[in-house]
Parts: sequence; C-alpha cells; structure tokens
Amino acid sequence: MAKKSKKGAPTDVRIKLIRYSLHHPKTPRPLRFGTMRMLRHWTIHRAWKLYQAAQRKEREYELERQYNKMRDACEELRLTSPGLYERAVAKSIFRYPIVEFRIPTDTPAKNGWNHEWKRG
Amino acid sequence: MVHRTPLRLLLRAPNILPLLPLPRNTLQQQSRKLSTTMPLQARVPPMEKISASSPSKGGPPRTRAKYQYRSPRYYRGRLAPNMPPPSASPSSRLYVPGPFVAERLEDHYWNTLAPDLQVLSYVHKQNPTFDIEKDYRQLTALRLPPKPTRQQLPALRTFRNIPRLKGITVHSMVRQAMKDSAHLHAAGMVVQSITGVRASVHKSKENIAMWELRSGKTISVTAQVKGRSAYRFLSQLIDVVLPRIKDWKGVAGGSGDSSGNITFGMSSEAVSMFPEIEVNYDMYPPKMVPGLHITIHTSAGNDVDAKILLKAMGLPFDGNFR
Repeated sequence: MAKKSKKGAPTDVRIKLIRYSLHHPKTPRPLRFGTMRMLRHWTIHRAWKLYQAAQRKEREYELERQYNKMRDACEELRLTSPGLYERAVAKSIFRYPIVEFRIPTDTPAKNGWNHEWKRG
Repeated sequence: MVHRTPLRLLLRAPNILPLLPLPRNTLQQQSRKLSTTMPLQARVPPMEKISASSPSKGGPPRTRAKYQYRSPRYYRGRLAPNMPPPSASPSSRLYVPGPFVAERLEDHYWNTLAPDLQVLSYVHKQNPTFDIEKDYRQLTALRLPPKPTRQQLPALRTFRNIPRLKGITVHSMVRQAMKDSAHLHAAGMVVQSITGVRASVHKSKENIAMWELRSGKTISVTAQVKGRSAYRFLSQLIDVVLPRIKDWKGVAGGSGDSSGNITFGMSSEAVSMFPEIEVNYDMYPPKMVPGLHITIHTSAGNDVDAKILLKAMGLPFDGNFR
C-alpha cells in the first residue's frame, strides 16, 4: 500500500463542506408531471408569455408616444417663437435625472421622510 | 362434420360458462395471479422511508419498469437524434420555476427612469426641407466615399435606444489559489451564493513574475447575471450592501470601458456585507472571502450615458464623469 503523505495542516472542515457541495454530482431529478398537470403548466406558461409580450409592447408604444409628442411640441415652438425655441433646446447645462430619487417601495418606513434634509 | 363453437364465443357467452367444470371465481383468481402489477398498498408501505430527491430509488423493488423521461445532459447540435426540451418545460434540466416577485428596480426603470432619460437626452432635429433648385446639384455631385472615422459617434437617442441594464458580471481573481485551491473554491462559493448563478473557473493566460503568476493555472471565477436577476442583484447592491461600506466615496467617475460597461471593485469586507454571506459568515474560513470586480453592462453606447443611467438608479459616483 502506498503511504499517505502527511504534509501541511489537515484541511479545514468548512473547506471540505464547500468542496462537497460544489462538486456534488447529483442534482435533483427533473420534475415529472402527469398529462393534465403538464397541460395546466403549459397553459399558464403561454399566458404568462403573452402577458409579458403585451407589457413589453405597451412600454415601447408609451415611450414612442411620448417621443412623438415631444418632437411635435418642439417643432411647433420653433415655428411660433424662435427665441423661446433657442432657449428650450439649449444644451449648455449637463442634465441629470434626480439623483435623490429612491426606488419606490410598497412598504415604506413610517418616518421615512426627513424634513430637515437639504441638498449638500 | 362437427359444428365447433369458436373459443372466443365460448368464453364470452355467459350462458355457456356454467356448463364449464370450472367454478366462477377460478378465472378471476388465475388472472390475478398472472398480472404482475401489485395492489397500490402493497407497493408503498406507509412507514417506508423514501428519499426525497429520488423517490423511485427507495422502497421495495418494483415489479415493472416504469418509463422515466430524462432530458439529454448536453445539447449535441441541431441534427442530434434526441433534443433537450425547451428550458420552459419542467422536464428540462435548465428549468427554473418562474418569477415569484416583481423586481422593484425594473418597474422603477420602466415607470420613471426610461421616460426621464428620454426627455433629458432629447435632441431636436428639424424636419428636413428640400430645395430642388439648390440641393439637387449638391446631392448628385460626384464625391468620394466618406472617410472611416475611428471614433464612434454618439448615437442619436430615440425611444428605441434608451440605455438599459443588460447584465452584470461578477469576477474574482484569487492569487492565493496558485498555492491552495481552497481559496478558489471558497471564492466560487461566495460568487455563486451572492449571484445565484453557477460560477465558472478561468485559467491565467500570462506569466507575470511580479505576481508569481504562471499561465495555465486556475485563478479566477466569474458569474454572469442577466435579465430579471441582474435587476435584483443591482438593487440589492444599491439598497443593502453599498450604503454599509465605511469611508467609500462611490464608484470612480472615470470608470468604464468607453462602450457603456462600468466596473468597480469591492473589498472582502464589503463582500461580507452581502446578506447571503452575512447569515452564515462562519461557514467560510477566515480571510477566504474574496474581493470582487463587478462589471455592469448597459446598452448605452458610451460611458457617460451608462453612468447617468446608473446614477439615476441610485449608484453613487465619485468625481466628475469623463
């Protein structure tokens, strides 16, 4: 029998655990559905895909509508009063969206609004 | 010639049956003996322990082979005889059960940020006018093809190309992995647990004597997050992890690869602030939680637009954009 070489410290148990879970060959088996359950799943999946497609299209159309309105308004302004138009389309300042805007949440904090806050 | 009743009719006819010497139950008993299927109660005893992951393995031996579909492990090209099912099918190996929550950041982007960015980046182009007396000569004159320009011109922003989040790459190079692979495994586990994506391992390409780096050695792990989970990861980063880092000014204002991908680094202390790491921080050996490089891929063609998008999402930046 070959001698087991004993060099270095024994491997940490946590490293053993990490290696075990990373290299474990067995993954959970694929889900197996009966015919009717598979049909239900398929129907729900198709409905969800349809909903997503409709939502995507709606978002695109909404942005396109806003863009067209903006373009028409600028064109109208250019034709009616060139002075106002020059000031409206001036690109001298670098414009940002509102950076203090937090992501809205369904469950905001009770005292989330700091009235004493001022822009630093 | 003797008239012979066909055997089928003989067996089927009820009025002939009593004529046979066999009692009535015998046929049923025989058929019961012949059938290989056992009653349901006998097959699965109530107190039998059955493995949750593979229920077909445990229990008493089955009498009949049952057809079990398993999708092929690898995609072997379009002409392979057995194709894996689409990833939406539950029998696919790639199947992930559908989204269970709405992503706040994604909704916020579509409801607020995209229209805002569209307004802010709007450049008015006048309707083209065509003066036939003047423009006809100009347009039909012989001219050379335009010179190729090396610098990419900024695209005119319309509703079609508002900058979007495309994905996030999490990368971690662990130099100690040259000596001990345990560091690489711990890094892979960290990356996998914070992104929810299986990390892939990369080998070094170059010899760098200063870092004691040799080519062909596995030293880094990456994971790519896309779509909905990229929004989840970014919102977690913005809301939970980055605000807790002490003395961190923000992402460097000059970062970016000039095509809209912004990269920043996180120290190992910052990585341990992730809730997925924090809950079982003791499961990682000390000093084995690695630092990370996080690259945020956006569909903006240039860095400034990408950084404006990320700033609007709430990622802090340090210094002016360049």
